[in-house]
Amino acid sequence: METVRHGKDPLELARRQLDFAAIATQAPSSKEILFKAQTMVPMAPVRPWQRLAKTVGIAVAAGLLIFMPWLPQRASFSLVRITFEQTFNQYDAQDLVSHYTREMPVNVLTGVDYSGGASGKTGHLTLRASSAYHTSVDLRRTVEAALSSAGYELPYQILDGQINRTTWKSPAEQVVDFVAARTDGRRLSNSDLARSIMRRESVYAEGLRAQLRQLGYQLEDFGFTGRDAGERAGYDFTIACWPEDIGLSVRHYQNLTDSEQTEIRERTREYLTTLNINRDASNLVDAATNWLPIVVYVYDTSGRYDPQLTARMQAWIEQPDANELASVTFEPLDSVRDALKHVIPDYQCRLDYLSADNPYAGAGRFYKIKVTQTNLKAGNRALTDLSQFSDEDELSY
Amino acid sequence: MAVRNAEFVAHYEEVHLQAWRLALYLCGRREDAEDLLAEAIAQAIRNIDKLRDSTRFRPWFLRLMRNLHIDHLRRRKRQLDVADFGGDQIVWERLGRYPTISGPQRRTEVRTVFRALDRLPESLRLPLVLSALEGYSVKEISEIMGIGQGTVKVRIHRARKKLMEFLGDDFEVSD
Repeated sequence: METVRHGKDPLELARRQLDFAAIATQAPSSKEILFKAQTMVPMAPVRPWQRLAKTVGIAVAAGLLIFMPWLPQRASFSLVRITFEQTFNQYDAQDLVSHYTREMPVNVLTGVDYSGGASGKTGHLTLRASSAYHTSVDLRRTVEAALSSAGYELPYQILDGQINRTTWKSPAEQVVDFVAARTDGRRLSNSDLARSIMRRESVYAEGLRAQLRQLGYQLEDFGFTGRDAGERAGYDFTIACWPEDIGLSVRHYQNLTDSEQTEIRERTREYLTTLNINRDASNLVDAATNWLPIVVYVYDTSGRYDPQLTARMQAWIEQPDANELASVTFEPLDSVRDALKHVIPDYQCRLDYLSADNPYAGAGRFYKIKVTQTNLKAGNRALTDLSQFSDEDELSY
Repeated sequence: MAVRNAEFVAHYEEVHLQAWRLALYLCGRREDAEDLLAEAIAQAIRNIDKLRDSTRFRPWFLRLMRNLHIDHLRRRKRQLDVADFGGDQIVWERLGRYPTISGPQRRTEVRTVFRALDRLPESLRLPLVLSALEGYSVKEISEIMGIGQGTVKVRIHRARKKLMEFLGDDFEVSD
């Protein structure tokens, strides 16, 4: 055997000794490797549009998470609509609505529509009520009981139905829409503001008396006159107001000169306009804060203003008269707490004073109170927040 | 997807055996080589769009596999030097499965050469193996390793010099 020094290139020796054919024979087949590749790692999409689709999908998912409040929300509620065969003037409608609202359970959403009725004409009144299906409220029977309690016996029709609501709006937008819908000038307040105003006539008289005293006149009589012209008799003059005209008597009024009478009427009209009970005031329903001694603003647990609960709370608050208001023992929060027992019984609430203005320039303070729902009372189920539902929801009867 | 995979398979069939041998060189163990090759295929399918010239599939795929192997080494913090693993077993894993070597003396010689090869650092061994044993051109090796052709030539030269040092002056190759 001839020996060759390693200068003959050992790598060439190694290469020649490698049997490539044998390696090929014993190598795994390409199919075997390909199969293993597919089993060990899932194949990812390789086409550009597939990658784009994947990217877009991730972006959409992220967007949905970010803008979750804009996701469509669907909910179903039972609904009844009460229509009346007869028409109502504004005062009768207001009276019926006040009774209806106060008699309905707190977990039922009430709605009111009043068309026509301007300038002393009558209009059509429609009441609505809705509740979540999971509540045990029988809406039809509840509505009948409420109307019966209100002493209303004229024919009406109740339509059963449901609300199927789908919206892309955020809750904040829904609240805005709801408030906008309720501030429509043709809507009636579902509170008993008219009743509250008429109970306060002594308060208004006190304020006006102070105003006229500054001019050197003495107010002798002040009162709502009712809607019949005959009831206006006995007053020196009347001023058109809402919900009823106001009659006034001033000492020696008939002996005063025309200019002095005019001065008295103008000052009175100006004062009543300041109180916002002028019949022509377009924002009367939503401006109760000008002339109610106790005004509340209700906020839900998330800090949103709740106009529905605010109106109902306002209706339930027993307002003080002039003597009570001037009393040092008067506690306005007691009235608010009494109303809370009826309107928001299931929630604990925090009460905060917002301000204390008295527009009447008389004795006593006026109170604006913020009511904030904090948390559910133990053992009570959560109330459905129906106040977010607007009239633009899909309704079917 | 199916069409694209079919195209990939057609390309891969042409380089399968070369890829298999490189995987063996890189890993030393048959099982590891199979895993490396399969993983390289999976990654190649995902990234096939990056291959602009299909005629350059072989260097592209082998480079991908080699980079994948380096990643594995980094993750495992493992050196490839066969001597660290006990030498013979892995050497013959590479070579002993192909018993075409005739005679005990030749067997000793070849074994000595491969053991010396395995002692080379990977950066030197791979260009030397690809060049001397697999017959790749300097250009292809530069593409596979991602380094310049001049660097490849330098490394091959250094690898040969180092190999001769490992073999020693007494090493002889018989005819």
